[in-house]
Amino acid sequence: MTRPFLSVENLVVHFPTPDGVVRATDGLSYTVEPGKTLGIVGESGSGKSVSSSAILGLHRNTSAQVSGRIWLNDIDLLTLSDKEMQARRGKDVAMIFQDPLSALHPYYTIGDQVAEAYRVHNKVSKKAARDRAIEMLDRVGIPNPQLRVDDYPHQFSGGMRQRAMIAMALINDPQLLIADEPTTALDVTVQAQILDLLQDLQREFNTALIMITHDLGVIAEVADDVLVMYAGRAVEYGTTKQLLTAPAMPYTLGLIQSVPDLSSDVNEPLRPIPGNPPSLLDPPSGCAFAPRCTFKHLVADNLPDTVMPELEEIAPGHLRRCHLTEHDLSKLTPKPAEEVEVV
Amino acid sequence: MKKRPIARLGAIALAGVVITSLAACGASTDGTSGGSGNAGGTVTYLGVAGQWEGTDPATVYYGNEIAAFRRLVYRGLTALPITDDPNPVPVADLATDTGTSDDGGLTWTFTIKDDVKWEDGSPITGEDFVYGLSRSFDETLVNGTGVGVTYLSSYAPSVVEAGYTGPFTSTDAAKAVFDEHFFADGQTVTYKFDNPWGDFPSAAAGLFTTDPYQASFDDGSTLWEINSNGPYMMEEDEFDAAQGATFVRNPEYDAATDSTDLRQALPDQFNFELVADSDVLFQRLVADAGTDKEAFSDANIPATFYSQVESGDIADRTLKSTSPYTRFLFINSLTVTDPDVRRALAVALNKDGMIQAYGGDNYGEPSTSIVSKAVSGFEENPAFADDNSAGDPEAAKELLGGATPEITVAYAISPTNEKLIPVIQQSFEAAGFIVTPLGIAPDAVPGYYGQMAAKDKNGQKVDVFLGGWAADWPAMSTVVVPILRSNPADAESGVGFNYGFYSNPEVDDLIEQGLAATDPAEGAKLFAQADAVAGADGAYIPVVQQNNYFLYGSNIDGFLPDVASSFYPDFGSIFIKSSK
Amino acid sequence: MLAFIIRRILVGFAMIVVMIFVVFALFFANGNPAINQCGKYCTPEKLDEITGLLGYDKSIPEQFTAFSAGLVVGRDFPVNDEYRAALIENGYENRIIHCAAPCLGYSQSDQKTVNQLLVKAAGPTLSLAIVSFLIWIFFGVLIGVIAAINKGRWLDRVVVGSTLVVYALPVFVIGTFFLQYVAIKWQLYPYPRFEPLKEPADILPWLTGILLPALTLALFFMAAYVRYTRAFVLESMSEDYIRTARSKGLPERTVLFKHGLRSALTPLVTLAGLDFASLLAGAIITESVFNYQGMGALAVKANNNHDLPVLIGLVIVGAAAVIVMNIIVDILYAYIDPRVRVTK
Repeated sequence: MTRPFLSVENLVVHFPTPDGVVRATDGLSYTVEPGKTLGIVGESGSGKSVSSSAILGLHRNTSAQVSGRIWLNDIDLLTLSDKEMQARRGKDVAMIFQDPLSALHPYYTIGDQVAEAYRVHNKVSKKAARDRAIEMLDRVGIPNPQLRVDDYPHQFSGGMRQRAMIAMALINDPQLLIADEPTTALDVTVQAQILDLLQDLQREFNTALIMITHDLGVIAEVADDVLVMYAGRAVEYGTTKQLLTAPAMPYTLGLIQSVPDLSSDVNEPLRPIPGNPPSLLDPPSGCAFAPRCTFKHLVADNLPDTVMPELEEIAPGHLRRCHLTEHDLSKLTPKPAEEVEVV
Repeated sequence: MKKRPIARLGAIALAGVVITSLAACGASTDGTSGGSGNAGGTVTYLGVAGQWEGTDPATVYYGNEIAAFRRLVYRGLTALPITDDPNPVPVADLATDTGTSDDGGLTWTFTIKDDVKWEDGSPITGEDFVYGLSRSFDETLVNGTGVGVTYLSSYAPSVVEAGYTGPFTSTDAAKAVFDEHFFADGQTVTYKFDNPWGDFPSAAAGLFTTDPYQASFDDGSTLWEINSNGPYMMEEDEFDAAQGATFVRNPEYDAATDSTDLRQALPDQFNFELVADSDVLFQRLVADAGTDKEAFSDANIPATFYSQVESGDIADRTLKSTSPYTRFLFINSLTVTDPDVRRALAVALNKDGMIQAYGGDNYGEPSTSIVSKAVSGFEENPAFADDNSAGDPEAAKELLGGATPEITVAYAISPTNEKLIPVIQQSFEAAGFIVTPLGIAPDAVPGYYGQMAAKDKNGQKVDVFLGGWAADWPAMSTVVVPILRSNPADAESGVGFNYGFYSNPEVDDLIEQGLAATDPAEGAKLFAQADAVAGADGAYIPVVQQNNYFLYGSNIDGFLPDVASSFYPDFGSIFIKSSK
Repeated sequence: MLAFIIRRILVGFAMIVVMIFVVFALFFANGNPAINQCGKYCTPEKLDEITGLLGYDKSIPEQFTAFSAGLVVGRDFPVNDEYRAALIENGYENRIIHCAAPCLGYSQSDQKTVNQLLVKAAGPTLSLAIVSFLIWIFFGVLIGVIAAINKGRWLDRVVVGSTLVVYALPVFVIGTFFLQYVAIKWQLYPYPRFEPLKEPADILPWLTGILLPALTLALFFMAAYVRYTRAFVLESMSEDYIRTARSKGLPERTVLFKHGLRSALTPLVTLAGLDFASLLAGAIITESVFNYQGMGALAVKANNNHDLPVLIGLVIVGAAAVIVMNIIVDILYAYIDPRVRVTK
């Protein structure tokens, strides 16, 4: 049996601090295939960015303790040396970030920064790298790339900056692209353009894409599979359709319900999930979501507060972490399927 | 050098008051020194930055500065020879003899040598001497010393009264008066005084007031310039008060016109190097490394260095001698009027304790007079001779008869004085006085001595105050007269150095007799008598007879603090040892 | 950019004018340059006489007017018109000291124009400032970066600890140690003397003479700059764009030097510019310890001598140095940070 293209197995990222160990990611597993998109959803601090950064080896210079396996093309990235990892970073795996303004160096031109990504992995002249940068800027839809290549980030609009980030990330034709909230800092019309661009490019290069977001709308638009994270762990994992039409645990449901619905009554209040995510320094002993769960009374023996539920497969390819029974699940009220756009 | 406040002004003023029988004598040499030293090399003079206040001859008035320049660059009418004789007599320098006077000191005539030259090669003329003297009347030029005017106003008052203020600003009328008194005819210079000045040749040797000045050199500010007529000349355009200067051989100087009794001029070069403070200076002399082997200083070894210099080889490079400086306490006779109270203060004072505070035995020894032992004719003042130098509070109490007078002791604020004041306060309080110290800040205007000079002490109650005096001139008169002669009745400030406003007709009478005496030994006796009377009257409290304690490099020879150099090392005799 | 610089210069100029006025008003209330001519045994009467003779008895507005005129058209000294007239009448025009514009005044105690004194003091002060600046910037930044990349390790702790010690040591102590022990007692280094730098051949003696004082001054700043640099580098290395640079696969060296250091240096430029400017007004303690006759020593001397014109001159030069350095820092900023550039 061959391994999936990307297979994250039991990934653990812990940050030791003077106050104790921050369990940012605890036992995370998922797979992604080329040309496919995995959406990772969760609130801030749920561990989605930390786990993805681990794939690029960005925790190597910190005090983080990373364990588990990250198989990319049958190679465990966690076993690579710093130098070997560095050679893959930006070439095999690339990443784009949430706020393109802070993610771009303010002192260097867009062209320099894009070309730098190319030159570090390809022995080419400055001129060739620059030409390649212009080509990529053109490809990501930057008008007049020959002129704009010499602009500084602050001279670009937010959407243009993110396009430049995408150009930088894709300039080496990576097999895996991690997009960490790529549209969060952008206004809505630009968001759509960027997502379209990402999908176009993904199709063109057959790239595996991990889309990290807290926005289920984005998930609905781009993701094939979805991983819902809560307090550093996966709480539900399945196809986009499975999760959006039949969420199998209250947190996923809460996420779905908290999305404003354009078709519904404007006077209908939003339904955010009450409470705050738990501290990763001292997580609850039972289900991490239990303190905020409005359904936990359905479970006998106070189980959610004392026992951490295991990740279980409730349908083929659909996993969840919840004490609720199949019967209780019927009490969850998902939105009608037709209201959710599924790709 | 160590403490500058010691006055020279008064000493200079008084130098002129002495009339001795030597006055009309010709040149004389005692021949104690010969040109036996090794010639060549560079000697480094180490000093402390910022202490020199000018190099224009009209400005120079500190004893050590006069001592250095007299031997190196500024020759005068006369000069004192290099000698360890405590009673040297002046000899001719630029003049052919030490001057002649046929009228008992009213008119003096000097003939200038023919072949003496300025450093630009032009001859030194009689006119240059008249011009040099005229500059001494300018108060703005003399930079506050007031030496010229104070001194000359005693002997040529009509010139000063005519409003003569030197060559630059005087009216024609005033200039005419000056010209009547002082004039030149070729190489002959004539000085006509209103009052007889018997000691004029000695004054000319000890001061730069009568030194020549080249009129063509008088351009712009001359404060830091040196126009040499001596064996060396300054290499730089200006003396740097913070860094020093370099003195090299003056090619226009002809040794044949000079005497080795005055200037042996053995080294090829003198480097004046000024350093940040005396710690650095003595660290370098102690280290004795490199060119510092050929270095010396006229600064006294600070107490913190005593333990280092008293051992081993370094001790061979030190020289301790009696200094012309004494320190004492003034008593304000206007506020402390009872002679018994004044004597009680003197009897009570713990001089030993004060000397410890000053730095101990190396600094000096308990004194019994305002006059230094280095002064010829010195006699112990019998009034203080039997006082216990550790203080005798019981005897003082007896003198006070149960009274507890309140007295204020004034001093200039300094680290040393801050250590002295507790000693003074304790010894006075032990005798029953109620003591209030009054410190005058270093940046006060007027300064400490300015305030103490005032009759009203600048509006403060001051009964006792710290002071010191140097006999720049080795004569009793240079000490007794300025400090003990009554101030004029209308004086708002002390004249000379009589800041205690002491006034005693008996003392004044003895002083007048001393000044009139034609025999110096007889004069000295009369001054000593005046000192004794004033002492018995409680005019002042003697504290310490200071020592000079010098250190020099291991290659230095001819190191001789002598009278001619105010007991600073004589630049005329110093040289570098031949075998290194 | 040009308009910006011109505006800054004009504002700076106005500031200097205000400062001159304030300093003049403050100091003149209790200063009288004539005191320097009056000597140690100065009495009030004598002081009055000399004050009048030299022309320091005029009212403050009159003196300020004369001073201001001197800045624009130059001045002659002594300031008393009658005194100068007498000098001319007696044929001593050459003793009148002409002080060309911008005349900052005349030091009565030194009998030199303030301009002359400042020019003379500029040599040692500039030499000291430049050499110590180079030492402290080079080693301060270098050690700071080393500490930052070794954050938390023993090397970092040693560096941070020793900077604390050095920073706590008074300059006076370090200077005295260098002079009295290193140079004099142990003879490890030639005795430091200032040698003016007039021609290329002077470089070696100049450098030899200046190294110990420059090091004395530099150590203090170096300690501070090690800590600044360390903090700025750590801060800049936690920026998002550093993560971007790493995710591109750049070697850590490039990440640090190209991406991290450049932005860490920006705040350092401001600090360094102002610290350098403050040194141009003279390093009082270092100059005193080593007997360097720079601006600091001049300030001490002028203060002791109640030499008001020199003090005003020093204030003006110090203020001008700060203002000029500020403008230079602004220009450097524009060079370093494209966001600040007004035009391309």
